[in-house]
Amino acid sequence: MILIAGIIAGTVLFFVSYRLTLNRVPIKLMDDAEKRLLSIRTTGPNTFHHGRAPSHKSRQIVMPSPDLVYSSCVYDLAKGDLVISGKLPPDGHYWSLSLYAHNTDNYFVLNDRELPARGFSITLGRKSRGAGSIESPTRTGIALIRMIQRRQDDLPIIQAAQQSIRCEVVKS
Amino acid sequence: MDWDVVAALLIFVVLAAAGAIGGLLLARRRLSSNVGNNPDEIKLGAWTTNKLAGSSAANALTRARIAIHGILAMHRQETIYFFALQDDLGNPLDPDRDWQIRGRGFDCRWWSFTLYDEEYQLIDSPSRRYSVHSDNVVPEVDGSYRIVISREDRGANWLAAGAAKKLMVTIRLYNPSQAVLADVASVKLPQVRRIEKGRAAA
Repeated sequence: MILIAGIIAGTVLFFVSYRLTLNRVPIKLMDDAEKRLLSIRTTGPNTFHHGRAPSHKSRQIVMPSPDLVYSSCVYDLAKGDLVISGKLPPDGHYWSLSLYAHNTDNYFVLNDRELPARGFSITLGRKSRGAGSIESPTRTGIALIRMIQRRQDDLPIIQAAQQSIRCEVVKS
Repeated sequence: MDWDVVAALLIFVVLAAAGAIGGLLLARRRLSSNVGNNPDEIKLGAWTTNKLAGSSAANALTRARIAIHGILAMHRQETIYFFALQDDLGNPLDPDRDWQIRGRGFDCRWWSFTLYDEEYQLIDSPSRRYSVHSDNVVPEVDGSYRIVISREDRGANWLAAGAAKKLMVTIRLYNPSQAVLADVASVKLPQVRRIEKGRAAA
């Protein structure tokens, strides 16, 4: 009898342990990514940090794309919703905004082809409040704006778009 | 003390602990292997892609593997990624040898090839060019491209292996066409093969 109970308990714990390990890995790595991204800025969460195209010295994340210029924001919705807005580079330049939950899911993405007016504004909160409002599955996460830098000449255009990005906390 | 009860409890605890440890070891094994037994992954020649990378629909194994090998990957509608750690014959991409990638462009807005080291980081290159992409590739007369991976300078479409101990090549297809999104297995991926060291790509 005890043998059967032990086998059942072992089988259940096998699956529980397997699943818990898989679920824990992305959350732990996202914790680390958020800490690393916060460590390169002095302003804390809910602010964008504007980077340059990664090089071999860039170690914040694995597999960085050397052709993309990143603006990153570690967000925390504890104090209210976030309004993220800004301008895009001129037509033809790739631009995208990706939102990542704390379990690494890329739950929202917007790119320049969807924004012919070359500007954007979204409200990010724990609950959707209609058009232009995005519901974050988790309290914390990462917002990443990517722009392709095809050549060195693109840099002033990209920097202008980066400097236009605003991120403000609004009380919900 | 009833030694029968102690023995029974001991058996129970050992079996339960064995189950828990077994689950942990299996998870670690599946996370550390490059490819294997994941229904979300598709193997196409030397290349592997994951049809649910970054997606909320990804299973727990996919989510964990992507977090390890490419955290903050974009959703496939924005970018599709292909990875190669081996050539077409299954040989690991030894950085002490020269390798050729030969193919044609892709049905997408923009594409790129990037080389990473054993820590999935960019490799120091004297040219400071870390990728060959649709804007900087130097095509052959027939419109195809040949990219060479080597520790030594191999000219226009060279990806530097630097001091890497292991290599991984990544293809990114930005804003892939609807046809590619509908059937990622239809993408004509380039050949990856070893070439004689120091020889120009052919």
